[in-house]
Amino acid sequence: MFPDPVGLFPLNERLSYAHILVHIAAVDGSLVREEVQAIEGYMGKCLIPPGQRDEIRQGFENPKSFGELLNNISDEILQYALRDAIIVASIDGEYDESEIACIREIASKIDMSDEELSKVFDWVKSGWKWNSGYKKFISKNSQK
Amino acid sequence: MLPDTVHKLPREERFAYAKLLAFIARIDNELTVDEMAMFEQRLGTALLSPNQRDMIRAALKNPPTLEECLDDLHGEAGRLALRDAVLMAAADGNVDEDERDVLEEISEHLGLKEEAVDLLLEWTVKGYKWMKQGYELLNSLEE
Repeated sequence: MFPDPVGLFPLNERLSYAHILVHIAAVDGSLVREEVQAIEGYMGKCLIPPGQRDEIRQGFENPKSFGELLNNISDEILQYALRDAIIVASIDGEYDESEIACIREIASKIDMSDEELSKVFDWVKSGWKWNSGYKKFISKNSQK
Repeated sequence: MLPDTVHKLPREERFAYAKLLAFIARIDNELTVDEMAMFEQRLGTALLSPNQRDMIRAALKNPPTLEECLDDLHGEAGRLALRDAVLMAAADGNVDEDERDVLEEISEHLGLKEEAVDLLLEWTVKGYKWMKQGYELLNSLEE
């Protein structure tokens, strides 16, 4: 929902970033509309050209090798991929073991400790709390 | 980027929502990369059809009037559009007078309470702080 440095990385890095998020969304074998919505939002946020989004969408059904994706992306953008992977994984209400395994793999690639990873999970949780706050200002009950 | 209920709205309402954001993005006749990124993000979140996306991107080049946008905007779609209009207006760190006037006009059109825009701006500031905490957390890992 906010401006983010992810859009400033070279296109090939942004494509890998988006592929990682698609992998996270699809890895538990079920795909909810909110996950698709989030991925579409991330592709927009990092300004992936419309013509290249179709290729990324194909990853929902035929995900790329996760190991290969991690090997073809810099640690700098991988930090953001980790942050956003946790958000994507949280969307359907619970973290699946397969999602956690991928997130741990990313964390390991950037040498993030369990304690640090736990802080990112906490940060995501606090974001959900913040995000729900707008509802009371613009609900039907907030009308004159 | 946290998902929300925009995608649950009927397609025409999502289109009206996105049209208002195109208006907001061009409100000061400038379009920064940050504003473009936020606009594209919200467009993605709305899950519009490719054809509708093209129409909305065209609206970015030739923005509709506010009146045209408001004519099609009511109920939940309008309230979500106001929320995201506030986020977009604040994207450059400052909500100028023209932007503020438009936000108030949208709020008035939707029949929201007078303090609605102020409360949304406060909520937005909290959100930016949350994002900043996220950056600080990631940056601390590099040390």
